[in-house]
Amino acid sequence: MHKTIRTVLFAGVCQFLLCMIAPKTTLPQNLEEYRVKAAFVYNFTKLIQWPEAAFDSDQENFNIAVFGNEQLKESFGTIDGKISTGRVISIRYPNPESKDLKKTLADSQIVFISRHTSLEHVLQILKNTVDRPVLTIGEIKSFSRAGGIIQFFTRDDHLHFEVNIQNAQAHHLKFSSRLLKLAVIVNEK
Amino acid sequence: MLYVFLKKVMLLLLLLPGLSLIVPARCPADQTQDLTTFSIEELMDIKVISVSKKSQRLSDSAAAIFVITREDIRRSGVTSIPDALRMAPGVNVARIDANKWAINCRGFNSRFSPSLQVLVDGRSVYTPSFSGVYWEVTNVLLEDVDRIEVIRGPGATIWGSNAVNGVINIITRKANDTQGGFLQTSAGTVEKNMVAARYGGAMGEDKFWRIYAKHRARDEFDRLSGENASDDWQINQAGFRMDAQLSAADDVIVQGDIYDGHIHQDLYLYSRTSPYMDEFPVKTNVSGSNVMGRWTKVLSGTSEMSAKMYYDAMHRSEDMLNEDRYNVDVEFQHRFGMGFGNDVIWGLRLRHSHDDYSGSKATFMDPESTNNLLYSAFIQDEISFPGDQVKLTFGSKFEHNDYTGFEIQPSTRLLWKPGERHRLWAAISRATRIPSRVEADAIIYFNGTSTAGSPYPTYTRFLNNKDQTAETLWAWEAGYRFIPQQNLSIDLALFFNDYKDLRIYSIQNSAYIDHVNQMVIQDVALSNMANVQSWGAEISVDLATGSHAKWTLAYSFIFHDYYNDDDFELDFGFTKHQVSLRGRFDLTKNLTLDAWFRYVGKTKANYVFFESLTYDIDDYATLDLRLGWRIRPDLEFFLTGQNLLQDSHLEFVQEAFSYPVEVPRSAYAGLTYKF
Repeated sequence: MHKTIRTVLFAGVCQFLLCMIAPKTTLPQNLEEYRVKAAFVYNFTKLIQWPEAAFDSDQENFNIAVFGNEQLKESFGTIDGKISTGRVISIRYPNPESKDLKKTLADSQIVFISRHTSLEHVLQILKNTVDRPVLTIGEIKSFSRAGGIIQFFTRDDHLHFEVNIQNAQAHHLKFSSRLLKLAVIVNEK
Repeated sequence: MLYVFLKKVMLLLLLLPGLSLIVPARCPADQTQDLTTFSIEELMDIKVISVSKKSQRLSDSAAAIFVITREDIRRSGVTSIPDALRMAPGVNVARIDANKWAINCRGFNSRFSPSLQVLVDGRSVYTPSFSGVYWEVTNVLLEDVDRIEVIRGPGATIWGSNAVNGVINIITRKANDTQGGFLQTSAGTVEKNMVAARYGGAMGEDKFWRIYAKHRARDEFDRLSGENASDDWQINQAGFRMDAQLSAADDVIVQGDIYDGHIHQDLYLYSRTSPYMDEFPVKTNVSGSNVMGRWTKVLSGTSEMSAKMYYDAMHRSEDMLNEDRYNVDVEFQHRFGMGFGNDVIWGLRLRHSHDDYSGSKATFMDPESTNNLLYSAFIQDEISFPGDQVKLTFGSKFEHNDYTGFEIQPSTRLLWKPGERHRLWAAISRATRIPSRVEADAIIYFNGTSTAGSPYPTYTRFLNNKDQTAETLWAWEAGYRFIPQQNLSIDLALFFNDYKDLRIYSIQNSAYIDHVNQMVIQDVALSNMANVQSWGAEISVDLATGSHAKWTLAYSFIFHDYYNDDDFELDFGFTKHQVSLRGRFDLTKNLTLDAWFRYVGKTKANYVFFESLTYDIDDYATLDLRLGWRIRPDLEFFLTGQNLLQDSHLEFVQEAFSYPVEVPRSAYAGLTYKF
């Protein structure tokens, strides 16, 4: 019995020591993809600098246009109304076929185009944002080649993003070095 | 014996709750957490799932693929990779004795199954000696397996020669995902005792590591005749893995393992004295080590390249065959999007293998030691047609080996997605199997008898053939996947395999007298003379009935036609029908029950000690049960019973050198503790 108690104590001490060096962070695992992407977008609003001309006034909302299916609404709802760099984030879900598309895009600072959007619509949206201070974020392959700025991709179940620097410059957007360090940089035109 | 076991379990039971008092339980992460409080670096560390993702990865491949997950392995109670493979349809797994398995896909099963490519984290583990796998030394810490991908049918375009009947990819988890400690111990009747430990930590934010060690001892089985098979064995293994992210675009993995074990067996070998065959108790020492480095550079969201290099050494002293082998393998791959939906991947590979067979008793190699070089290139293009409904993949491997020269192994695969819930695919591919070292260079003495009317004994021996061509397979495959609803998926695969120039052994004209060695020799020689056609189907069904019960059914059948020029009957390794049905039940929040029923139909095994050269193995049905009790979030007790339906049953026999051994009913219990 003494031996058992001694073993228990010894194991306990080992345990305690191991706990001291064990990493303390507990990140949530296996989250729904678009909730995480929405949080990425929220971070982008802080780590990217828009030119002054992008906003009509200092009080204007951060307007984000999201193209995709119903599922995205719930996810992007988690950042709707949040405040970033002193501006209220306002999410809209325009129909890519509506007549007001041009106007909606002209009012937006960020456009998120999910993979559920047809290629034709993706190209049309990109065409309507050319040279304007709008951050375009997409998911389809060759999004950045088609003129987009940020393209999400998944590796080993983790999200990564590619930044087309030339496109970003053409849209007068300044990326922080912290963001660029995490991105895969491409320079295709 | 039982007393000792009980005492061990008692001690553990006392020990572990003692620990739990001290260690605070880790609270599970909150799923509804506000992610906007997370930094972008933290977001990149989160594992994401998308509703369709997991099934997509599987169902979007135009091949007969089945994935065995970590959860499947844990819940089934299997203790080895071979046993885990029994879950997959179309895979024939048979245990020969306590330490040997015969495994293949779609027929031609034997201990020395030569047509399966097996990779552990991309490291090829089949031995060029006989182009088969020493399954008993193919070990990983099962807890750290992420998944086992089982691909039936040829995969030679990517994986090269030997990936004829199938490819088995054992993929371990990243060090990032195995942080913290893991301790497991168990004891039982066949699974005599096992201890495994792993600890994972981090160095800074982007570098993660883990180390592990395990010990396992297995008890002996009995021969069909009832005698003890003396085939107990034990093996120790340790290893490490490090995953480092050097920058957003550069990943480096370094990993390695080392193992050492001894395996007992009774070998039935020829001898120089009457009765010219004798039984030898043999202790086989096995050891090995490997180290691998892999660097992946992401060039963009659609392109990346990777370089991989590994060194692998193995030693085996088995009396009948001593083998030392040292492999160096270097591989480069580059994938890039080319516009218009083209996704191109190409690669180069170089493999150098040095071997030494000195000291072998029944197998004589000439040359005894040699160097082999294998080099290859492959290119494959995956074209996604507009609308993303049709995907066409075509490519080829161009491989050079020292035995048959250049081999071209092309394949074409087509995937069609008529709707969210339906996938149809078809494939045509060619694969080749190059001769193994034994087939090219060995003479194996496997039988000795006294000769009527002669003072000399007669020895029967396998004779190599240096002038062989590669065996070829043209495989025609098709499949259909149907996911009618979230809780039900059905996967059907059909195949037609056309094999040409299979190598078989046949008895040479007449025996001759070797006066110098005072023996009569009967040669059995190898030649490319058999053709086989096989066809069949495999179906797997996943069904969840409520949130607490999950079922997986795997059924496969195969027919074949065997013919050769000499009308020579030698036909083995096919099991016509095979069923596996697993049920996973969450009885309460902390109590789980798993049941696994298997039926394996009649099988013929090659057996040189019989006149007919075949051994008829009866069909069998058996059942495994596992009960898991989560005592605390970090502590689980488990009790597993294996092969419960009968005292023992015969699954297979080795071609030569040994007697039939039966697989007994067994049970083991243990504890898993995570911290």
